[in-house]
Amino acid sequence: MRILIVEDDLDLNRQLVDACSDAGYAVDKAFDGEEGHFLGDTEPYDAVILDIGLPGMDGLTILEEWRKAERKMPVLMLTARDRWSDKVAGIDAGADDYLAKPFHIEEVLARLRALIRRNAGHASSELTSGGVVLDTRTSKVSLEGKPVKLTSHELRLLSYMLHHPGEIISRTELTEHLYDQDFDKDSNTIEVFVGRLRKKLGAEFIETVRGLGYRLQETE
Amino acid sequence: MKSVSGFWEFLFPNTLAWRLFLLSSIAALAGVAAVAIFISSDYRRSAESRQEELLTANIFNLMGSVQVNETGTLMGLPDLGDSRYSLFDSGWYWSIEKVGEDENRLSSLSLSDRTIDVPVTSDFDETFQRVFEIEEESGQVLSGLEAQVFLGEGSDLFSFKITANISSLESEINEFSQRLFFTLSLFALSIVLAMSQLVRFGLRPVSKAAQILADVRSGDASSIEGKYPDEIQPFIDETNALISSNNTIVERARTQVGNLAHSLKTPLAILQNEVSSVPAEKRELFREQIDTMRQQVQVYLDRARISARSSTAIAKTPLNEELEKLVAVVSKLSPNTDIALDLQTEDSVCFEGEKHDLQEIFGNVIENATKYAETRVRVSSRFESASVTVDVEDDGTGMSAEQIEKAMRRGGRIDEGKSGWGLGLSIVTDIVDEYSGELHLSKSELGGLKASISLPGVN
Repeated sequence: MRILIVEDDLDLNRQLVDACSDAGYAVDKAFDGEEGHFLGDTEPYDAVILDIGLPGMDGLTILEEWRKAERKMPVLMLTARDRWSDKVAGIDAGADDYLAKPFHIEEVLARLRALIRRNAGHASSELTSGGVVLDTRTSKVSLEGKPVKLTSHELRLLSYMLHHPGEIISRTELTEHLYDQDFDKDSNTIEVFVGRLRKKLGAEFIETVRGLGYRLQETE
Repeated sequence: MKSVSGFWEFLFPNTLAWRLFLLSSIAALAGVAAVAIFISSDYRRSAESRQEELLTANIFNLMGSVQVNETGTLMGLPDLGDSRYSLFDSGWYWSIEKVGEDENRLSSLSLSDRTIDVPVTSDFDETFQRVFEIEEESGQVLSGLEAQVFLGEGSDLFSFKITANISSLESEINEFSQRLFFTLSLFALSIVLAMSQLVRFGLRPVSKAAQILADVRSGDASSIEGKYPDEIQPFIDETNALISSNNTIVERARTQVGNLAHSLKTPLAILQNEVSSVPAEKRELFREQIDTMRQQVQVYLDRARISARSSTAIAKTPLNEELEKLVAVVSKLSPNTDIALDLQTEDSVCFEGEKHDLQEIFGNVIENATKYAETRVRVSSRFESASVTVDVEDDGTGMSAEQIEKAMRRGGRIDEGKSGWGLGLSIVTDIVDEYSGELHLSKSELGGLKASISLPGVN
């Protein structure tokens, strides 16, 4: 899961980036409106954390521009203004959720999880496929009820695929969603991670669709 | 002392209307009084001069109707054609006598054998005439005229005296004065009444401006509208300028408070998130202090919000439109709850107040309901007798009868943890109070809590 954080306050930006990275997301960050707008407009994100008060271009305008350009990723708005009229304006501009400062970072993570889940059409916080269960709240994975230990990259890959069950996902798409923009992208590493996941969760779990990409095993 | 000055102020209130009324009334009354005095004295003078002319005419009449014969005796039967001279003791007398010979005389029947005694203080003028006044024992006041002329061969001096009873004249004058006084009093009264109406009419723009100024203070108007007479328009203009500059200052201060409070939120968020890196023994202290700061920021933002409201003029906000928008927003924020909107109000029904306040009230209440709902929330509205009522119900566990009773006793304010109504809703009760609305909590037929909020409305 790759997310974008647009927050002009250096410390808050760092805290959000740290917390989200720790939670297993690939994180891009922007410190002003223009950079944030550009990244959201050009890169594929699974979710965006967007501050309203930004230098250059304010959050509401950025959001409106994205929605006009058919950028549909879920957006969590951060704002110091917590009147309902502000919330209404934020949701009107196209925000999917709204969090007033000061907030607990855990709240941000919980909202982010829910947004990504909802966007993929899942109601439950537990994603399952075959015998594999991923609890998105705790990032714990189990196979047939037994816990499985995964590295953060393996977890990202699994999480992304569980969010898109039945879909054929290309290596490029996986690369784009698993690494942040500064990462040296090499699609071969995807193959390595897929191999490791097969080893831990069963060879049948991830199907290779020749020439197109990967697909999770169909659940009966 | 106090009661005396209170009474004094009651008699002479310090108002422009009273001043104008008092001054104009005094002037009018003085004018009327002067006219009354002038007319009545003029009437007296002309009555007296008529009397004097009558006496003069009569005395010449007497002189023409008597002769002196060879023996020097008065001859003749003067008839003045006035029966009063025949009535005994009428006060209307005449007598003709030879000076120094009391026996040689003629007199009116009314006088009989008495004489007219002229007071010694009276002197003759150059034509040998003198006027005098006598008060008889009966109290009658007589005005008299005496003329001394030579009759006959020219050597005998005769004294002609004639009197008129001026007691009747006096009463005639008094009667006239009374009539005059009565008529002029009516005139003065009508002037005073007209004056009071004129003053009231003339000062109406002032009281109108004062009324609107009071409305401005109570928040029912934003400035003094309308055209006023040139004399007070400058005051109105200055007052409007003052109101507007005051509003600007208050608005600026409020914005500053808002900006200050909001600008503290980001640093607070950062501190709050950094607490875990603080040494364990200090962590609680940091948490508490950050929480206190957060609460203070919220308190002052809420206060600025409430005070902003009381000074703005009445606004109207379409109810259905806003409820639809809010339900859409809350649905998006809590997608797992099904929010049903049951609008019994026409689209033209408006909440009489600010849109922001309506959003704040129902945004919080509806969102709160979704927090405690199992799956369903119902929002229904109705309009009756200048009031809109919106019910927000959920199918959660709700509150017990005691909790509801306790909440209602405390003015709909429950700030205790998980009792159903959290901290965020104190702003709701504050705003509802501000509009003199009502918040009623009860058990919903859906199973959970039913919050009924009534606010001023108009269709």
